[in-house]
Amino acid sequence: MSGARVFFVGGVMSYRALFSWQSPTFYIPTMLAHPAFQILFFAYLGRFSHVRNDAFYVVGNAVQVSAMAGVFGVAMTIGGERWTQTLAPLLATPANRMALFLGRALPQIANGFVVSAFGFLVGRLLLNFDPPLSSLPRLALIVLVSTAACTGFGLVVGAFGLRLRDVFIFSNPAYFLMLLFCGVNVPLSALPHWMQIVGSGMPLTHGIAAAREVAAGASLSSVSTLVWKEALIGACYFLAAYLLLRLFEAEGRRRASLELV
Amino acid sequence: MHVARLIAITWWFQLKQSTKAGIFVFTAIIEPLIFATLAYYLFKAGKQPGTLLYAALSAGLMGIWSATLFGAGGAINYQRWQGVLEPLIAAPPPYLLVLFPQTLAASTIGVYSLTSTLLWGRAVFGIPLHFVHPVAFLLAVAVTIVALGVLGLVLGSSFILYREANALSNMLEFPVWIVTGAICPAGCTTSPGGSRRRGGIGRSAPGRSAAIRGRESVGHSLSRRFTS
Repeated sequence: MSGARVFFVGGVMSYRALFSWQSPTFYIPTMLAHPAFQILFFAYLGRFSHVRNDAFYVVGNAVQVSAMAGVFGVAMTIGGERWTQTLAPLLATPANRMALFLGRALPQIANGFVVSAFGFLVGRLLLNFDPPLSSLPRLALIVLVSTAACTGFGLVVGAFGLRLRDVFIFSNPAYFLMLLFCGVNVPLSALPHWMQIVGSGMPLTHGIAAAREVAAGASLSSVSTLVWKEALIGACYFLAAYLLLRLFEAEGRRRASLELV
Repeated sequence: MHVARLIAITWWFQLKQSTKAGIFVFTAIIEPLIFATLAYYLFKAGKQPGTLLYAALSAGLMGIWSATLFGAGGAINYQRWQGVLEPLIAAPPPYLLVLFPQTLAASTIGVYSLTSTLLWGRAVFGIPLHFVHPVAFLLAVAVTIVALGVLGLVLGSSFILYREANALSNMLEFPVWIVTGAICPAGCTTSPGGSRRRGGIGRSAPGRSAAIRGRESVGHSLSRRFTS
């Protein structure tokens, strides 16, 4: 019961306290406008490069922008403990660490889903993207799975907030490298083999591929393998994040570095 | 003489300070390299080999824009956080002469972007660097830096009205790349078979014409893409 409370209540409280982009003056330009312009930019770039049509870039980027919450948001709610000097007291509590850290991911999954949905809406209104209405529930499910997997990756990035003073040193490159490795804007087949291997182990890659097929009218069963792969990769990142968080917590205690800012 | 000294020293100090900040290193070097790589593979997949150098050059120009946007847009806010805004305003020289070299330093940081993406393209992808008009190229870059530095002055002083200046900087990064034609030329916002959706903002943006001149000085084969 205590673990569930830490997971749900603690997660929401940390979101409200540490996610500093939640005020409208920050949320609208950063979490909505930035992703919208990202989608437009790459769609225009796609037209210029003649590689794929608008739908390719809308789906790829609309799923990827969930990383604004999944990577930046999670990194902020973990790294933010250091800036606010609450990291040491937090880790002095006997709270279940799994519930403590995973609870921080839950609001960001919902947040990432909203950002992603807004991205699809922008694509529908401003670009040549017109998926069949019947595909929307399937698309929503895939986006949810992808956002959750991305949030697992964000927790791995956020774990470095326990080790480093500035978690954004990791989260910034992580976000932009996803644009390159996950088949967001460049078809995976156009990348070198080693990049395809890296990309296939990253979150969003399989989710984006599945979302593209579903947006083109495919059934959920025909992309189930991709969706399961995405979910499995996400689970692996959650596990890796938990292990890293425990490792860096122990390291922080040993080095007395939890309060360094 | 005093003004020139003030500008030179403030510019140099700000340049050194920015070079040591993680966010500027990322914005000026890492991010442009990621975009250069992305653009390289995208254009390669589009079977437009003549545009590979253009990809490296454009990513560098995007980096100059980003450095200006983040450095100049947040200049006054950074001073406020560091607690030096009041002393700077209270100092005898006009505040404008203090802020301008700072925004100029921000755009100068963008030289790292251009250098890194061109070297990255040459070293990693073997993109040949044939400068048809090297002097014109350097001149175009210098003019771009100064023009963006002056624009940075406008950004820095405008953003002060908005407490979350870095949110505006985040938001404006992609739009300025679109309207200045940093990587997409004028016609790329036109939908295939659709109507043109872009207005005339990009035509007056300082980076745009200098960017075009820069590309033209690199190779005639590229210049045709930018004459509209």
